[in-house]
Amino acid sequence: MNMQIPKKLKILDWFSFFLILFTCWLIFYKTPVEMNMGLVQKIFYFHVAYAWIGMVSFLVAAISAIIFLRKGLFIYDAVTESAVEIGLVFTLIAIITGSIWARPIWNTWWTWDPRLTTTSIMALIYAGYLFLRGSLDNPEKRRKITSIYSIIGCLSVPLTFFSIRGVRSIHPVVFGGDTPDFNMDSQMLRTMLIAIAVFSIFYIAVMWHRIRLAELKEEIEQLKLTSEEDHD
Amino acid sequence: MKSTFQTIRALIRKDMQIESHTREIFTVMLVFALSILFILNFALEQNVKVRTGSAAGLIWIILILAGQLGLNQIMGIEKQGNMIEALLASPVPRSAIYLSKTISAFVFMFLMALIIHPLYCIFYNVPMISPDFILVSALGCWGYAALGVLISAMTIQTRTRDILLPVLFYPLIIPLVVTTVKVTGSILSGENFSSLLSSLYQILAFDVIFTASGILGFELIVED
Repeated sequence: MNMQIPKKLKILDWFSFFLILFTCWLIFYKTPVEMNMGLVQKIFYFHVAYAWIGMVSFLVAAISAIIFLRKGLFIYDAVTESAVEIGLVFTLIAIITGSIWARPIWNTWWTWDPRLTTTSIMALIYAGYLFLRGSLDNPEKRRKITSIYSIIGCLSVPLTFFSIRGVRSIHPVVFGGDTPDFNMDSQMLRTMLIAIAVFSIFYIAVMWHRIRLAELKEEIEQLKLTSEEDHD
Repeated sequence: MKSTFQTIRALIRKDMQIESHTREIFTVMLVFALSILFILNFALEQNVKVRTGSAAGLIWIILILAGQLGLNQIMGIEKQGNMIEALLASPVPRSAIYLSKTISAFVFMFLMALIIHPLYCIFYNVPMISPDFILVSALGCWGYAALGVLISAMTIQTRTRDILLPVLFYPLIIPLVVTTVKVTGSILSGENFSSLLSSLYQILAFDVIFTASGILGFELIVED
């Protein structure tokens, strides 16, 4: 495999970098400050985008795990592994940014709201995936077992939300909700959608890098095995 | 079909015979559960009202923690002396192995629930649980066993098997536990059983999902 980063990926890196800068400019200079929450509301543009990417990433992991189990191609396992790792990082950032927002608005760092609880449990499930992956030595077994675990993990997330939904939620519903104090101005909504789109592009770039890393690691493993066989 | 049932029965009998000789699963689970039951005395409020309010959650925490020992061992006994290799080499459907292990784990867990509940009520002066509770326990224990055996089949193949089981299993079992605790709490507070039917269907749905995942996933996990 070529160690050089592909030209298309380099272009995507720079493209997403400038898009993020543009989004930050949009958020801080071109979008009005929310009347009730003030400046702290700006964190929402990042928080929603990270939470969205976290969710999408775990879904990508489960879908590629299903395809891996059907086709058995290494690349799909690499996609699952990459999606779980990146999804976990984005989910943790979403939890932290949400907590920073909640402190001045809800007067607490944490509340046992169904969405917060489900997101945190989802993070725990996928942290478990990484532990499981790390403690399986046989590559074939590792791929199969972790694929099944990621599918079960993805199944468990909506079940968790479903089981605790009876608890009264104070989390604002950004899209399509009827929370009176969270009716977004059209400019704010536009910025939010741009932020989600831009961070999604950034996610694609990071995924591409991570999948390349997985492929390189696999190649090194294969080279090690071949050299060991040659020695024997 | 008939032969699958016979296979499952034979495999369950094998597990029960091993248990009757070694006493490494149920007895250990029960003693561990009793230990937690006694430790709780030092952590709990003396107030009967507070104790009653948290009884459902505490009873299930005891069962979940003790049940984990059983899950570790139920697949672990097959690993000893590489019995799993012989089992997989035999002309037995993988789903039959999975179901037999799940039924064995369920039997241990359910028996423990039937012992721990009245004991909790006696020791902590909580109103004795109604017979409705048996159905909730059975459904809760089945879901626990169905998913637990699948995760245990994964973790016995890892380097850190006993440590990894709770890390993987507990976050996944949360939906079942939340609903089961809710229903148990409602039964304890004397709520009408018919009003709990929707929650019972929810537990039943979890059981079906976990069992189906187990039947489909087990074969892939254990095959070479």
